[in-house]
Amino acid sequence: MSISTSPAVGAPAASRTRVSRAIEAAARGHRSIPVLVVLAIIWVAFYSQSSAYLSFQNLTNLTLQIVTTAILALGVVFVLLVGEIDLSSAVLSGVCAAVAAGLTVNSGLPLPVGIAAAIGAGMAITFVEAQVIMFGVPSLIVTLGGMVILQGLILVVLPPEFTISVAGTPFAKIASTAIPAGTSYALAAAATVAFAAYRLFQYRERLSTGSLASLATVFVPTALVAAVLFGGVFTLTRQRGLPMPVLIVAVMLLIAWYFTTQTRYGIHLYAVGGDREAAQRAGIPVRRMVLYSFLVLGACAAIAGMVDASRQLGVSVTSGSGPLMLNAIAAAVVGGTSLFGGRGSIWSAVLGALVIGSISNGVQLLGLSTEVQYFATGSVLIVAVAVDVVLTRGSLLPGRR
Amino acid sequence: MKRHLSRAAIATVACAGLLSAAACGGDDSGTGDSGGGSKLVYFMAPNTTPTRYIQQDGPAFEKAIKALDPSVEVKFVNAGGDSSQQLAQANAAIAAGAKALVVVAADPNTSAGLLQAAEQAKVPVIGYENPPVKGTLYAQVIFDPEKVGAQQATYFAEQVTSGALGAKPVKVARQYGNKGDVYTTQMLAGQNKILDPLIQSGDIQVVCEDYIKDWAPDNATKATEQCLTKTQNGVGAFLGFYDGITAGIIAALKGKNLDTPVYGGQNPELTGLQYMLTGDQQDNVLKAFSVEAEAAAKIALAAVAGQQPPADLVKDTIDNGAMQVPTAKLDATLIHLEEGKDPGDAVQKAVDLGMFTWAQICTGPAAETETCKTRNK
Repeated sequence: MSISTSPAVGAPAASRTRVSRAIEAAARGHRSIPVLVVLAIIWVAFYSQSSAYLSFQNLTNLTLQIVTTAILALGVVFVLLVGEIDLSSAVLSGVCAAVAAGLTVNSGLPLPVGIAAAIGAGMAITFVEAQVIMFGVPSLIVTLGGMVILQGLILVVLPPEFTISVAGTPFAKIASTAIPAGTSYALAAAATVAFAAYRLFQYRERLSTGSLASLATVFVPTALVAAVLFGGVFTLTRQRGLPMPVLIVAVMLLIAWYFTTQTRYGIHLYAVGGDREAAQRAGIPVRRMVLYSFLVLGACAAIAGMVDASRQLGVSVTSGSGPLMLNAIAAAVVGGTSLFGGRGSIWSAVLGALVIGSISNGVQLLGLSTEVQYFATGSVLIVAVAVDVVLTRGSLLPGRR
Repeated sequence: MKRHLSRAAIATVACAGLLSAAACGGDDSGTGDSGGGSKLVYFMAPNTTPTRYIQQDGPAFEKAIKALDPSVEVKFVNAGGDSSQQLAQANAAIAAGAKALVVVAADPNTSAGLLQAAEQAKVPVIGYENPPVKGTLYAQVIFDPEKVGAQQATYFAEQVTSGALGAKPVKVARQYGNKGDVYTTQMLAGQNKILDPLIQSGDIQVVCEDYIKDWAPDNATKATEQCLTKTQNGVGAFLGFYDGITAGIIAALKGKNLDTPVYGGQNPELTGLQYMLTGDQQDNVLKAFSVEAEAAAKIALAAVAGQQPPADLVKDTIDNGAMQVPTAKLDATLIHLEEGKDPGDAVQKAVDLGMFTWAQICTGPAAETETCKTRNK
């Protein structure tokens, strides 16, 4: 019964696990690497053309410009993860904004009631869409039809003059509220401490199960998170304080991160997207998971719509139209979420939105023509996914099928 | 690990080429300095339809600015019909050090955010033609849409009452602009002010009413075809909202070999003037781009210099929901065809105002007309 493993046997095993774990970690983290590289190149390219590009003012502009896309893209990621797609959520965001603004501005109800009603409306509409999808109609068709229906619905929801102005109302405060610098730093510090505690807890768990772990897994990510958070707060509080929409996105990302990575729901979500048949056989409630994803999207669309309306100080027939829908889908995909389900993370929403937003922001700052922006955005979408394909396959050779 | 590095390298190489092309592919105008000493003015167009802002207003504005003060630099951006894009462009313009913004709103209803951003940055905004509302403007230059609608309807009412369109009631098909647009609402109010009495007295019978999505000619064609089917070609006259819509109506009529008279052009677009020469379109309301652009240029320079808006131009005020905006209201001119006269006499006014040249007009459908044979030498 003596457990005398000779070091000659133990060492290779240990080293192998270390190598395999490094590869594993790389594989887990690699989906955000191409997008970060692309982002870095975009920033360097524009910064070399105009030093105003990375000024505090412009970085704040950029952040606020991508908020709507990022929130909507977050909802889209949830739907993509279960292998479905949605084309109606951008127009839905306009409808929900019209509901919220109508109730708070025109009917004079308190703001929380309007917000709750908008989120309720968004979830109700995606609930209906999800029912039809689960009945067996492809999601592409259901949401395409839904988009057209919603374009009609927004005309119904809006008052006869087809516009609601929210300037000077409590509704406008959603976007214009700024959190004072002191509070913002306190929040960043609290988040950093919480993250460090979480990593430390994981490290202790690993040690207790006897697997190899080093304290670097605690310190390095914590330092990174601290740098990002404090850098972000420092940048965004230069002008008036931390803009409320940024906090909204941060909180939404945190909640989404918790549910997708730390709960059984998250495991099921990825399982359903990975292989529906297998998930069904494993006893995972596939239909319910699809429904949950669409409900999340409904809530995200409502919040995106309200933030956008509050930023533009109005809702009209054009709310939620234009390039918003395709930008949200593109953001999710550029960020590394697969269109075929089961692969991707919630960070892809914000990273992808950042890439797309950085291009249009830079093109506008340099005063280049709109055509350039379209060329660049379209090409980056394709290239980012192509890079992802190469990374997944591990070679530049075409796939052997 | 090694393979991992090479992956990052692949990503880098793949994107580097692409982005350097995108970021450095612009022409020399993209200097992008923070506007330290240079006087920078932005002309912000709403979208590519109508074409006038890109083809006429923008260049005319730049020309007028350069004539008054060569040291001022003018930059153009185009919001592609998207309000949030326009807000982003305004922020970018402010970051680039713009001293004034001349804005045609992509959607006035959701433009207050742009005005707020400019106000916070203390950059004056000059509203142009379809100005942003519900916020602080330095001044605005407009052809009053309500007045334009009234001009169209007044001429149409004259034609009805004089009996030129046959026995009463005259069966009229009306096509409006995009439902919910400020421009549509105001033009409709102007038209209705004149036409409602005639509708009540039974001189006019409206047989079809359509809002044309996005003011697009192809949607106008569809609406026309449906209307003709519904009424079994029993339409005495069409009344549109703008040259793109009348062009769509005329296309549908030509497809069915009908020559129902078409009224209600404005703006004008090249096609509208061409169809006047061929006799397909009865009238047009000319908004002199050059006059409007010149007025905007003078006002913009006053704004850059920190003076009051020029009093000889800015005589009116309009309540935009947040303030009384100093406004330069410009007069539009209605031109129309007359029985037995050369249509070129009417179109000549558009040429005199510098909107288009005869060489431009005498292409496409108008190339073979008598007018063009005599005037386009």
